[in-house]
Amino acid sequence: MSSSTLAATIDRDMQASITRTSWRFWLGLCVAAGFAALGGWSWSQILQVGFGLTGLDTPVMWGSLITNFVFFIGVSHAGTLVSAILFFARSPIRAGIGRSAEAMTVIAIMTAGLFPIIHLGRAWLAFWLLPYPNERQIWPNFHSPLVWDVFAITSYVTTSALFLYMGLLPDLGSLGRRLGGVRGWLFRSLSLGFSGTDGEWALYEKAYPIFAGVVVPLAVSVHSVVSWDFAMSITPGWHSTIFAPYFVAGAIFSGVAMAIILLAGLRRAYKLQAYITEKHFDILARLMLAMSMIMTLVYVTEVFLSVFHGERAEKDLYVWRMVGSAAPIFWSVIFCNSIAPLLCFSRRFRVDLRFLLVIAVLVSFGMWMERYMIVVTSLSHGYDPAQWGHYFPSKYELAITAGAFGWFTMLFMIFVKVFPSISISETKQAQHALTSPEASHGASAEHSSLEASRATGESQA
Amino acid sequence: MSSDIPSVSRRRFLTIAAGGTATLLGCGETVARHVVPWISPPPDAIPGLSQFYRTVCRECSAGCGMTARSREGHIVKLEGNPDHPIGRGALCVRGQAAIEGLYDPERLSAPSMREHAGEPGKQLTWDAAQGALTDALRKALAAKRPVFVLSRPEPGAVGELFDAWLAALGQPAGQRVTFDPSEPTWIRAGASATFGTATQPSYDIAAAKLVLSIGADFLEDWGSPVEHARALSELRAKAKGGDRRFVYVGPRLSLTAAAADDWLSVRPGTEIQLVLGLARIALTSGGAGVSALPAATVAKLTQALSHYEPAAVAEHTGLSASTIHRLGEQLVHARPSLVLGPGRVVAGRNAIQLARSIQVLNVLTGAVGQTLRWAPPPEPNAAASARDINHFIETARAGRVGVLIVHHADPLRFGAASDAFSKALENVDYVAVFTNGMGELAQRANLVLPDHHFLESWSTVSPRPGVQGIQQPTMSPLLATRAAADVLVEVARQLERTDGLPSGTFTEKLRDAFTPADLQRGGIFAAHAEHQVALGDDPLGFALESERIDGPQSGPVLVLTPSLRHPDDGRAPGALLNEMSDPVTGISWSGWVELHPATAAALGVASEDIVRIELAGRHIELPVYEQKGLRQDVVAVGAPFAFGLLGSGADPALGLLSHVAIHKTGRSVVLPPGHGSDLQAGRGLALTEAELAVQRGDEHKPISMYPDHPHPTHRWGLAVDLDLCNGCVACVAACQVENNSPVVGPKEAARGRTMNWIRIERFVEGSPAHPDPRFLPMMCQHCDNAPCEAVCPVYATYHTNEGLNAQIYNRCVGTRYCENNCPYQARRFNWYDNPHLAPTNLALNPDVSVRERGVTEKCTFCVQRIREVKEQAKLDGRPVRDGEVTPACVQTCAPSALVFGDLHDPESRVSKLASDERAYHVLGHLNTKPGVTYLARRRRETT
Repeated sequence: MSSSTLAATIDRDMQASITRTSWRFWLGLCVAAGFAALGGWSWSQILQVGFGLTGLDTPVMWGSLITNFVFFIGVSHAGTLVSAILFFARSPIRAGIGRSAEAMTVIAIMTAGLFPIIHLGRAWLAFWLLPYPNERQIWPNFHSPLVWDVFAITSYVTTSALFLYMGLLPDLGSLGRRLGGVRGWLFRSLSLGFSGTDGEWALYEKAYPIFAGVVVPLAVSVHSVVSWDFAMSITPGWHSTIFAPYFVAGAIFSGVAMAIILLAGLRRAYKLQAYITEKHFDILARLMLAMSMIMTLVYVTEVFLSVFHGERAEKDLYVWRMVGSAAPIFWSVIFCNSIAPLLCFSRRFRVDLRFLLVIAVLVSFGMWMERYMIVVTSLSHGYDPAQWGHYFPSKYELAITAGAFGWFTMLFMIFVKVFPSISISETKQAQHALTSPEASHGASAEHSSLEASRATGESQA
Repeated sequence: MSSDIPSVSRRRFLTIAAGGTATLLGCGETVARHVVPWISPPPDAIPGLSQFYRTVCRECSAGCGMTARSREGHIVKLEGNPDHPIGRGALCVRGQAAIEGLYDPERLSAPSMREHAGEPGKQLTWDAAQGALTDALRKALAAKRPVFVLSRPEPGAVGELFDAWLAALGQPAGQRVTFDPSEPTWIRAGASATFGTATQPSYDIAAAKLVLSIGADFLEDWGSPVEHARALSELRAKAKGGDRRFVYVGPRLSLTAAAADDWLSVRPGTEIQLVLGLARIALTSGGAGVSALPAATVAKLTQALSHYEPAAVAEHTGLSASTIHRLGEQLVHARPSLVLGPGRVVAGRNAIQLARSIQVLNVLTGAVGQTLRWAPPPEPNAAASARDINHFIETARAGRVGVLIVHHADPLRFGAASDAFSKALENVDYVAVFTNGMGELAQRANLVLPDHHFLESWSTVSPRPGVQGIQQPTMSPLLATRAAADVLVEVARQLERTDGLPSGTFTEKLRDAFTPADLQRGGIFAAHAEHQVALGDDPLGFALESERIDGPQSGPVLVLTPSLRHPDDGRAPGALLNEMSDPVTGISWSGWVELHPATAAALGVASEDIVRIELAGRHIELPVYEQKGLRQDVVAVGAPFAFGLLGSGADPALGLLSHVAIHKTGRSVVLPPGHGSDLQAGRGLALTEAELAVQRGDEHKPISMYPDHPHPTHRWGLAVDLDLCNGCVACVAACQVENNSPVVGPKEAARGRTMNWIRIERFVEGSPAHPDPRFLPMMCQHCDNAPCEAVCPVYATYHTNEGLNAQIYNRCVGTRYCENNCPYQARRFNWYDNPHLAPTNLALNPDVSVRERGVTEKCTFCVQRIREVKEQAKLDGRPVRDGEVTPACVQTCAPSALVFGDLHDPESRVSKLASDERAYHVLGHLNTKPGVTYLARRRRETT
């Protein structure tokens, strides 16, 4: 098969993912939107009646809402970071997973960014955290990590969105030329006139690494800043210098797990077995395993540091977390994040999607619980024993949490329906590299396997 | 004029401006609002400035002096009267909460009547109501049936008026009866047996070198809690050298026992043996009072006490003989000493005998005349001559009673008295009730007459000779109520029987009776002659009752414990009082039964499990609280929660009642405690001197990268002396009223969402055999290096140049980060909007913002009071004086454990306390540099 017909196949497959819509898509979208609406309704109740509807009380003033914030910030990490790092490594697997990983980043941060607003006692005044000129001449308090958060998150969402948009430009240009109707008009407008000339490509190749280069350190810094929301306090369980690397590692870990879940879903839904291969999952699973071991190291270090800490409250907290009434949380975190991923040492668990998916879901759950553990148990067992207390999310908070996952899924579904979920241009480049005369015989074999797996995918459908 | 300005004529500009203004006005609120509810204000009232009226607290019979703060014609805060000898400026939690009775939305505003008991009442006008009462009295007088007045203790003008009124109606003396469910009646009864006169004692606790309380919980009831708390604190302040001790004997580690140096518990019912054993030691070891006794009396006493050598007493009581001997020797050699009691928890069927034994012991040790003074017996027909309620019950049993006038009393609420009283009521033709709210008795009355609240009416209160507190109205009546005394005078006039009654109204009479100086002082206070008492010939000539406790002689003994949080006149406690944590258990809003942890374990129950307590066919169900400071053979229930258990004939004041059976029910509840652990987990928060010395050794000098905050004029600070604080929670109520903190209700309180800015943390250290309770008042520490300030993203909390950690409610967006980062958990979050429904909104302090939902709040050191004092000082052209600023908590602290002032001034009291060798900061190692200094508790040795 010539490379031009291959390119046509790729074009056709990608076009199909955005133009052909089954009833399953609509059903899924409705379910996701329904959860999002439920979450929105719950928040409206909290806005109307008060924060008393949550399960929060002295001493636990932050609960599942902040947990969601940290979790989704974490999820947002792997996407851009993985995509940018794969870009610099010139890895051929980037073509298959980069776009959806970047989209996951932007969407996760759009979800996470809601929570600092939702959890405010007077959410309608959230704009007071922004440094805008006002008649009272008051600026935000730049000592407060929460203000750093505002800057970190807005920078990150802007850069990630631009990075995603930059990568989309060539595809928008080519699809816009081929598609008619509203979508064609939309793509043409968004493509900024990208028509694929050599000059445009030359500029593009120069610009893209700049974005990729900015995104990598930013991703590290953003989650470090989020970790300082906790580390800058004096609360036992939060006040620790290990928090920045701890949170960044955790973020990549949970992000990879979420990427595996989304990619598996995408591949199944759009029959992209040809583009998202076992090899992709194998590499992601290896990354997840590596991050899991880093997390285990962090857990051990943290416990070690606290048990030999000079502060009595810190030591008591960790002992209570491990053997007290919070122990189920602690040990479920250890099981999900440190033990279950060890199965990925076996290739079978890395490439068999059924197993890998279970592990990825466990890791996602474990990482949510880890954030819950950090936020809630630290607060409930503070300096003053007379004020020790417990927290469990109320039904409103649970609904908002479900709503967050619904919102996240809904936005992701809309994204992959509106935009090509796999970079067409990069896939073509990758395939071209494989089928060009310089390429080896083995590469053509791999190309034919692409065709074969396409056929399999279609027959399965 | 340059051409680039558009040409608008003056006329055109005004047209546009007028149109714009009209449009804006149209958008505004159209409802007229009364900012100040006066058309022509009284001449002495200046809006924005407080006025203060002296009066007397009527929440219990102690009669503490009270100062009511009025703003724009409404009382917004109640405080003690520093010139009044009772209370001397402090109030208890009930006094602080009295304001909610004034603005109670359920207060009655119109008279109502019913033909037959059980019918719903019909409202009627005051004229009709007075007419109905006149008719009923006329009928009773015609039928020659007696007329009774039943009231709360009224030792003063109102009581005298009742007597005069009854006399005018031709009734024989003694038909005024009083009902006080918490009065230790056995003391007066004992005195008439011991000394031959029904006199009442007054105590000088502060002067004693050894105070021994036989179950007298004088910080919670037993006469005059605030006065006694002040006195105990003076004793503590003098006790620096350790030569003054306070020992408590009783079955339960009560609030009073927790304030003692030593808590001894004896087998329930054997307290009398201990007292007699001590009396024997006093007699044989040369007690100071023995030499003055006639030889015949000494001989009689020697004979009566011969069986009570320490070994025999030890066998009965369960104490060791050496403990008894040592205590006896201490009592003899501590001159003067003082034995108090008996209190409710040890008052069983032998209460009068126990009272007599204590009275004899005080004579033998020489306490009488030194620390204990007996008042002259009341004059015949004087206010204090009112008789016991039993006199009414007996009369009603013997024949029909014409009219019963009830004045702020509700025996039906008190199970012990209710059966007999209820039966007696059936023999009464007509019952008229003066009350503020619809109690149980009012629901059975023929006529219900809403009386003024005590803050709206006149009286005098003389709780003891030499003290005449003036109860004057502090605001014009809120509702269409009438003063009970005025109604009775008017009714007598209609009956044309006015001999000895005031010619005008009672109100007019009292209004003209006092000089302005008397009113400003709050009363007329004079020294009174001491009554010389002498023991009778055979003061202990009684045979000990063999059965001191009722019921089957097995199972734990039920003791009823006192509570500051429940009114004596039968009203249910208001929301604010209900939300105050019980100081001993930390529980609010609910009743409970205290079990020793071992008893609970044997029953298979734990705290918050409901148990059923059975006694003679009756039962109550209450949740368990595991109380380490309780004898294993005792269960304790707060008296107001146990009335359902008590049969007829029992004296409502008795506390040591009966053996009971306890069963597990299998159900449980969540008690609203707002309390985590009662162990300090080694955090060293509430310290003793010895622990402080150890902790000091471990401390590192905190360092900081930042310069200290400058405080150019003042650095406000608070000192909390843990040696003096008795945990009575009056400060909590005072703070809540002063600062408009809402009451959140039982459900929210159970979640720990109470909004108080100050709380009393209670820890019970020590072994189960020797529990060591500690109280730690905790409020915002106003740290120099405040963790909350750095983390607020919008500067809603910041450090003022006077050292206050200020909170700007309007700027707060509610991240709650400050609350997470406060190691003292001093901050509170407004979970909901808290509506202050009319008329409770009138109680709001206009100087303090009412906070909206979603913002954080906390103790401000009563910044509004600081400002008031600073402004006054500026007007007077002088600096602020030390002690001039008193936050609400400091103001009402009876033991003076809280001292507020300027740490900048090295001569201020608070500065001196802050540099005391007992001074420390709670969690000081966190380098928060708090403005609140705690003083470690002095050593308390156990015997």
